[in-house]
Order: sequence, then structure tokens, then C-alpha cells
Amino acid sequence: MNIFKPSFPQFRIKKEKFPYFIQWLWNLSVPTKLHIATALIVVSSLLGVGLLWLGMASLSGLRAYVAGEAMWSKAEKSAVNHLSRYAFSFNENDYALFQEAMKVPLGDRKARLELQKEDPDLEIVRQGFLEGGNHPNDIDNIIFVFRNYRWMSFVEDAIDAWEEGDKRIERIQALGEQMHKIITQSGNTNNLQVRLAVTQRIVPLVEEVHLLDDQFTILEERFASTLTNGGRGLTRLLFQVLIGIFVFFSIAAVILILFINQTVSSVDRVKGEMISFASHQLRTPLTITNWYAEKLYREADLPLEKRSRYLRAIYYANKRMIHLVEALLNSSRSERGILVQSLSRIDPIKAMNNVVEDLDFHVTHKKLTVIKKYDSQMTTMMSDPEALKMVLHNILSNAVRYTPAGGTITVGVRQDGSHVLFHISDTGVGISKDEHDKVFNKRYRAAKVKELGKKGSGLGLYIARSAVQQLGGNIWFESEENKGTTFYVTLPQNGLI
Amino acid sequence: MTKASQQNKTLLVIEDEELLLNILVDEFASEGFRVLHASDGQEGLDLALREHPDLILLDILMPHMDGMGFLQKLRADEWGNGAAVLILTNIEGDVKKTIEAMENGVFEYLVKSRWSLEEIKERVREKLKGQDSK
Repeated sequence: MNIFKPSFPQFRIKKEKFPYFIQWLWNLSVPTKLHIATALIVVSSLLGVGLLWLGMASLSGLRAYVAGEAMWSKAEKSAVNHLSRYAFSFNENDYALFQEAMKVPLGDRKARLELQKEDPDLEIVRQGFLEGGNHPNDIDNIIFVFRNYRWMSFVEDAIDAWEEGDKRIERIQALGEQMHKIITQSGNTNNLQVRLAVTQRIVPLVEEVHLLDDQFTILEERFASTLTNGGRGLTRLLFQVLIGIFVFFSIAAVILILFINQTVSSVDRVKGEMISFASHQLRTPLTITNWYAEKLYREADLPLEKRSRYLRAIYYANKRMIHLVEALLNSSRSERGILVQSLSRIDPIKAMNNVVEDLDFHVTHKKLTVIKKYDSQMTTMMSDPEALKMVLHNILSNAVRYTPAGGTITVGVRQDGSHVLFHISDTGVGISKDEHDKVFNKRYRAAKVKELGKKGSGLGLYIARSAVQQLGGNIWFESEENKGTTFYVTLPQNGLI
Repeated sequence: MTKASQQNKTLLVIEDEELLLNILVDEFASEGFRVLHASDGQEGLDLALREHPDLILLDILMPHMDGMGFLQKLRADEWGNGAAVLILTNIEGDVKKTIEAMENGVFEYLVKSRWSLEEIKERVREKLKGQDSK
């Protein structure tokens, strides 16, 4: 009868119902999950901070442009103003002030032209923007926006407006120089005649200047509003992306944490069950030892035959407990992949003989025949003696347990190429076809076996296979119901490959 | 209870672990009881209904028919309904089983690994004495 039945919670999520990716995520180990969840949180934080920084730099840059544009308009108006005065005062001072004012838009123009080159000289760019009256701390932002945001339509629009403005600035500059030339080359400007002549020539120039001035107003407005609207749109976009990232990563992290929680609680549950199972399995051999020992020490005049029988029972009960503890330890070790501890030179035939001897009590008790088929040429091999002993013991104890009284067990050891082949056959109850692929599962107990009520942990073959795999070998079996079973184990002769 | 009076008492021990069965039988036999034994519920039931033992020592976990199954079938019988049963087991904390046992008129659960043979013997004697005084 199956003693150990793991308890299932009322509500059990069926893993198989979820897409493969989710299953893969579920199956990762707890530390891995924790690492991924942490990484997600860190990455999303970094992204968040990065986006924030980007947003602030962008907005700062746009603001700098708007401020720069304000300087530009002021200077342009001032230039037009001084030039108009000069056109009638003929005062060199006015012209000087005109030129001074023009430095601002011309400086910005110099910067723009340099930036539009393939490989701009940033020193010239900086110099230009400084002349444009921009704050030195804003200049890096202005450059950043210019170089990286051209793909945004509103930035492109603003720069277009700027280019249009510059064209007219160039024209104003030319007009100013023309005026200057006329006036300085006219001679004595105190002479009314001369004055009239000059004025006649200058008036059309001044008219053009005013025409351009009107156009400037429109362009300046276009520049400023495009940037401000664009700036608002950019902020909104960045905000949405930020929220999106935050939500995505939060959900991912929460899912992982939920998985971890589930794993941890199921691990706790299994641990609890293991402990309960272990203590339960131990009770029978403990009771045997308890009662037989009690009888032995209480009754001094027990007949010798009884005494020796009782002592034997205690000895084997004790062995049973030892094996159980080993099995539990190994089950835990096999989970952690550390079943195989060290390699040494061993004699495979001796190992098999030891295992057979260990089970002598039960063999004799059930009147089983043990046939040994050893290759006489068998040499030594490199393996982990404890792991090998455990593998052979687990298989052989199954054979003994599930072979009815009077049956036969055959054990063999022989060379198989670069491997050593062990086999253990019995004439026992066999394993039915539909259970063949479940045999190595944890806590597998064959249906038939449960009916017969044999005691066993179900861990034996699971651990055995784990150990064989870690030793670099192979384990398989052939079986027919009610006829018998043969287990084969091959191990590399020279230890792990 | 003297050894002499124990001679006309029949015990039935139902336990599937052979080593435990053997020592229980040995122990009670050496006390002068007539001891019958079985290693599964069905065998035990047949013996009980045939021999009408004075007390039945019952294990819970057994193949084919377990302790509870035996108990239910036993209580279905006229004699069996009043038969004295003492449960010797190593499972505990199974509330469901305890209640089931109580529903079937068994109020005594002894956890094998906690009771020495001497203590069990004492308990058996008490129970049988209780029966006599009825």
C-alpha cells in the first residue's frame, strides 16, 4: 500500500494550460527567478531615470531655443531700428550700433551653418551661439537638440523658420553695408544737395528693410510657437513611454514574484511532507528495534535460538533505517546535483557482491536463489564507490522485494567496450507496459506493488538514475508482467568522461 | 490478572509487518494467552468471525483490506458489533481515521513506536479485566 501520498491543495493550477514561455519561466529555479525579477526592477528603474533625464534635457534644450529666439528677435528689431536711424542721421555711431545688434543673429547663423556640416567643429558652433547671446550653460542642450531631434517634425519646422530668417538677415546685412557705402562715399553730408541725393538712393533700401522687418515678425512667431507646442507634445510622449515601461516591468516583476511565492510554498509543503514521510517510514523499524530490544533485555532466560533471531531482527531493522536516511539524503543531494562526490579505483565484482550480501537476510527469508554471472576477465574501474553501491542496492532491493518466495535473481558484471555493464534480473511481478515510462519518477510505486502492500519509499530508482547520470552512465530495463524484470546499468570504466 | 486466568482468553493480532507480528504473538503467547494472528484484513476478518476472540489488536495500514475496512465489516456482524478492538498503529494525526475508528466503536489508539511491549500487555490485561467485570 502506498504509504506516502503527497497532499494536493484544493485549487491546483494546471501548468500545461499555459503557453510554453510561461511554463519555461515557471520551471526556472528560485534563485534564477529572483535574479530576473531584480534585473527587471533595476532595468526599469534605469530606463525610467534615463527617460526622465532625456525628457529634462530635451525640454531644457527647447526652452533654450525659445530664449535664444527672444534674444534674436530683440536684436533683429534693434538692428532694424538703428539702421533706420542711420539712414537719416548718417551718424557712424548708429551704424556701429546696427552692426553690434546684428552680431546676435549672425552669430546664431554661424553656429547653424557649422552644425549643418558633416563633421562640425563644435568650438566654432559654441562661439557662434555665444555671440548669439545664449547662456553658456544652455549651449550644449541647444547643440544636442539640433543634432538629435531633427527627425521630429516640429523641430524641423522651427529650423526651417530660422533658415528663412537668416536669409533675410543676410539681406539686411547687405542692405546695411550698401547704405554704409553710399553714405561714407558721398562726401560732405552737411551739404543739403548731397544729403538729398543720398537720401534718394537710400529710401528704397530702407523700405526694403521695413518689409523684411514685417516678415521677421511672422517668422519669429512661427519659430517660437512651433517649439512650444512641440515641447508639450514631446513631454506627453515621454510621459506615456515612461508609464508604459513602468507598468510593463512592474507586471513582469510581480508575475515572477508570484511564481517565486508559489515555488517557495510548494517547497515548504514538500519539505513538510518529506519530514512527515521520513518519520513515518522510520516508525516501523524503530518499533521493531524497540520491542525486540525490550524483550531481549527484560528476559534473561530467553532461549539462545530466540535471542539470536531477535538480534538479527534488530540488526536488519537498523539497516533499514540507515537505508531510509541515505535515501532521503540522496534524494536531496540528487536535487542539488551532488550525488557523486569522488572517484576512486574499485572492483565492480566486489561491489556487486557486497550489495548482494547486504540483502542476504531477505534473500534467505524468502528462499530466493541468487545466480552470479561475472566476467572472469573483469578488471577494476574508476567510480564513486558510495554512489555505485547505492545504485546497485536500490535495484537489487527492488528485485528481492518484488520477487515472490522461491524465485531467482541473477546478477552480472561484464566488460562492454569502454564501459562496465551491470545487470540484475529477477523472476518477479514485472512492470506493466503502461507504467514503463513512469518507472524512474520520484515516488513511483507500481500499481500492483501498492496492492501487495510492500514497503518502500518510491525514491530508489529516481535516485539511482540521477546518480548514474551524474556518473556519466546509462540505466534502462526490460520487463514483462508476471515474468520478471532485468535492469541494466553501464558506467564508463575510466570514470566521468 | 493471573497467568492462569489468561489461559482462557483468546487474542487476535492483525499486523502485516511480519517482524512485529511475530514478537507480539511471542509476547502474548508466553503470557499464556491463546494467540491467533493474521497479516491482512481479510484473513483477520475470517478468523475473528470464526473464533470470536476476546480482544482484537488491529493495525491500520495493511494490504488488500486495511484496518478501517476490517472494522467496518466487523461491525456489520452481530457478534462483531460488540467485539473489543484495540488499534495498534504507527500512523497518527490522521483525524479522519480517528473519527472513523470512533464511529466504529474503537476508542483506543496506541502508537506502536511509543508503547513498549510491557505497556501494551498491561493495557490488554486491563481491557480484558474490564470485560470480565461487565
